[in-house]
Amino acid sequence: MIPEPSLPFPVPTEICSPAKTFGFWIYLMSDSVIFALLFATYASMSRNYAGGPTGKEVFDLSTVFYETLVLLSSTLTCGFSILSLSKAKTPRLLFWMAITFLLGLGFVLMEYSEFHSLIWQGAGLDRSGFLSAFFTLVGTHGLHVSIGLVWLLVMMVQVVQKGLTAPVQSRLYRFSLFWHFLDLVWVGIFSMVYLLGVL
Amino acid sequence: MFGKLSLQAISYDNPVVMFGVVLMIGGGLAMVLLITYFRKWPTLWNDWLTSLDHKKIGVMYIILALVMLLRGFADAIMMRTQQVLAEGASQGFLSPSHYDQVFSAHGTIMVIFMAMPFLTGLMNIVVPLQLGKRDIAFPFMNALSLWLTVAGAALIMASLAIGEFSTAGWSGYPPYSELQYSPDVGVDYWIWALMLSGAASTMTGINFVTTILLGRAPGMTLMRMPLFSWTALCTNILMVLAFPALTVATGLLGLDRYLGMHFFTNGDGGNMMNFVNLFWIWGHPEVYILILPAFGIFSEVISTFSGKRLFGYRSLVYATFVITLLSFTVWLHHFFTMGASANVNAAFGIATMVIAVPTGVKIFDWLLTLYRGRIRFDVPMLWALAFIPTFAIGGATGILLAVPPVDFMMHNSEFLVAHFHNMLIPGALFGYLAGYSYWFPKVFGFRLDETWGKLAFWNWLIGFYLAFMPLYALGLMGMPRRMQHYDNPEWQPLLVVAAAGAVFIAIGIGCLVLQLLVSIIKRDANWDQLGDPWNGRSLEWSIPSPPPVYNFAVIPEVKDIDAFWDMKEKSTVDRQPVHYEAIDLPKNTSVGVVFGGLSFVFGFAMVWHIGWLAMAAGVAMLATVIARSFDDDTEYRLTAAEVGQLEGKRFRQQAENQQACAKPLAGQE
Amino acid sequence: MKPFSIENRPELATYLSGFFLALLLTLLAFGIVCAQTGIALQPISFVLGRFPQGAERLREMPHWLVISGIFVLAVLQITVHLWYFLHLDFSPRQRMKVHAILFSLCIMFIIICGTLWIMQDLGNQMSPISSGR
Repeated sequence: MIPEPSLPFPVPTEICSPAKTFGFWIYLMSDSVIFALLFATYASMSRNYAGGPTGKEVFDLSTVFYETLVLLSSTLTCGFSILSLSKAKTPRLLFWMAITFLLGLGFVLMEYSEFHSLIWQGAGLDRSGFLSAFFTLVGTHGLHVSIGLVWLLVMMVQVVQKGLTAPVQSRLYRFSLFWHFLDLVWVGIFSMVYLLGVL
Repeated sequence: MFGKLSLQAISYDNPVVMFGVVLMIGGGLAMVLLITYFRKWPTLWNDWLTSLDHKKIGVMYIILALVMLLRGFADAIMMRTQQVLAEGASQGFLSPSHYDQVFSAHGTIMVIFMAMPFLTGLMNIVVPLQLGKRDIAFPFMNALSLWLTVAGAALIMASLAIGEFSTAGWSGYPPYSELQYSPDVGVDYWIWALMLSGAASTMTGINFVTTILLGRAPGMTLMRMPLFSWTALCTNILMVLAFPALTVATGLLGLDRYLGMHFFTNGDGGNMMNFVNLFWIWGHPEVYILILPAFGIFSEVISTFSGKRLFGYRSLVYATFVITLLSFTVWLHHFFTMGASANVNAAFGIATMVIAVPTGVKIFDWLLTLYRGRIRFDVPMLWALAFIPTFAIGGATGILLAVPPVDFMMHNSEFLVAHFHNMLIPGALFGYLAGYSYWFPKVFGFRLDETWGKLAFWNWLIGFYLAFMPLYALGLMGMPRRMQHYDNPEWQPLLVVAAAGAVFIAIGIGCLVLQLLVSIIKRDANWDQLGDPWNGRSLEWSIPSPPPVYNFAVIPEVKDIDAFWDMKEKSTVDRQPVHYEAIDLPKNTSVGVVFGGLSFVFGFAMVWHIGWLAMAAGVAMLATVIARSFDDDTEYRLTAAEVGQLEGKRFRQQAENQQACAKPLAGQE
Repeated sequence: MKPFSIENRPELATYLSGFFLALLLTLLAFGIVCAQTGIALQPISFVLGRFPQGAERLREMPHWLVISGIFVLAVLQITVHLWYFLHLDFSPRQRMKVHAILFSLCIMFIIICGTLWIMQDLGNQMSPISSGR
């Protein structure tokens, strides 16, 4: 195991544990291959409507726009929580984590209601190859965000229970990587799926 | 309550299946009884199952691989027997559906649950020792990988007794593997076994890429890493980037089957060829995942037993890396016949031929390492020497298949079966077996018996040629693969020869088992007292056999490619250091085993559509991981004094051994 | 990798400039599509209404330019995220990580383009009736 340096404040960004940060990046690359293939699958199936609705007919751009704004804001508040962490201000850190959590939760709920209304309109995931690919790509991203929310909740408990110990800091930093990464994937989704879909 | 599961899932009426089940359960019970009789349960639990020591995890991986080798080979010999019998009026002893399950299980097991655990086990044991490290980057994640792999293997074994396995081949092409044509749970077993082990392999990849790239011994630059570590690095890069494709392919197939989606269905906008595309985006790099570590082992073995530095170290490293990149550019050659235009087929055909160039570079490097070397014909070297010409034959037939028009003739024939067995048995399995006998003394402190090892080798080699050369001819005679029954009497004689080959391989496997037993019984004669039984060149031979739990009491300083050889030449070996430092090591934990068990329950529940159980197991898995994250007390510390004490004891022991060995050694010279 | 040093500390300014750049690129992408399709999105429609000439120009953009424009904006925004939020740069401290990411991107490029090429080509080879709608 690679020794973890003991950390004085001000606290690190990524260097809590170089191995863990590096390994997490490798994980992110692996995960992005999953998204890359889901994107490629979606692109190759994006005209397979099988007589069902097209993207132009069912996509609601205003929902997507607000989802995008919410997720982008949560990425900023996640950044603020890392700033509070680097200044060792626990209450402020918890505040920004809570805001990030609420914004993330808002995103997931908006996506849930979007899916719900699509299925209600008869544009469900078993309607056509196009819709299967759409639900899988966007749903995989939503699943990642949901897992991120669980992780964030666990980290809030750990911050309260353990304080800002070196492992907690290192986990928080990796959480922020995960969260920023998910927003980055969302950029691909709103551009390639929704914006090109309604044109 | 129990989803699709009922007592009818157990096929009492099929004697062949029941024999397998009895054998499996009997073997399991015998193990349990033996462990109970010798009162080894605490040892098993405390020293092995809960251990996070990379060497022990490696050993457990290899045990899994050897057990699954027996199972996969049992399938193979059933297929060979069936094809000898089932000509003309005779139907043989396997029904079509059962025969299909057998070849599907054989392929899945041999690739995913034999070869993958074998190479992962070898990497686990050797890579940290070669790089002068005390541990791998993430020991706990390593345990998760192991137990997820075990859970996947257990799912396949369970399919033997409860329900049935997939009949769709190891590659599970839709639309046949869709719910419409395969309504039973066989394909689901296949999907979940691949899912679990795929996740495990991805985690192994992340773990070892980090291990190899960060925190090597001082002086161990990338271009001084032993070649096995290099090939391990490339293999793990491939695992990280290729296994997601398998997860996506099987995941989307699962969504089709479970949620009625239309990724690969015939109608409703599905496109079955995308599955083939996704599967081989993983499948082709997978070939190199299996073969590259074997290349690394051959490089180590050939250099050690020729008594020479590896010829063209740099070219071998570059060739390995070029293969890593190119392995992602050739996947379409597995489905030239799907109906793509000539441009696409030509592009991938040419890329396939290009990949032969770096492989050829390697062959010449090995030959030139042998040239004017002082060759010792120990068992590992025999495997390596047999590999070179045999692999060249397989490579040549591969170049034939890379030509799309030729592929149109050979596709789906026994020629193809012969080709890929000709790559994977000499190219991967011979390498692993060479590594097994090469590093066995390092792990256990005694050598494997030479006589039985040589017998195993010769039976395997003869068996391989007898079993697979006839298949080339059969392919040229037009015999398709995967035939439960055939009407052409001209094929039968060659199939008899192939079956005879399988018998030789069976004897070879028997010799391997006997070799292990004999070596354990006669271990006093084969003791490896100095830790360097083969006059080795890399760092793993600089420490005692078996290595202490911390591997290196003092991290060595590396000054050369052959780090240990360099130390021996400058006689800087075995000077007892004055100062030791405290060493932190991972504590044992049962979370890995528990997680593996839960994932098995989860997979089983998903296969049989038992919703509540799947939900419960899934939540429990998540809870286990979260609970583990709250535990920050995961390491224990050996103080400098304790390390000094252990090392002092070792040096005294070694001095005694050296005196005892001095005479016979002098006699040899 | 060296231990954390003071100059790599995250700064408020970094996050804020990243946020505003990302917001700008998002608004641009949505704005082009709104102008093209006439979909009313509140803040964007308001701005488009204030600048009728610009909106007209966006509406008259050729289709290929719109698609490549959205693509370029997405790539730019992803780069912004990597630089400002994920703190990637070309400093020697990050070299190995950047190499790993570039290699992965290279592989992803190969498999995405390969998949699209293969499936597109296959679609062309098929009879038109099976190409969906």
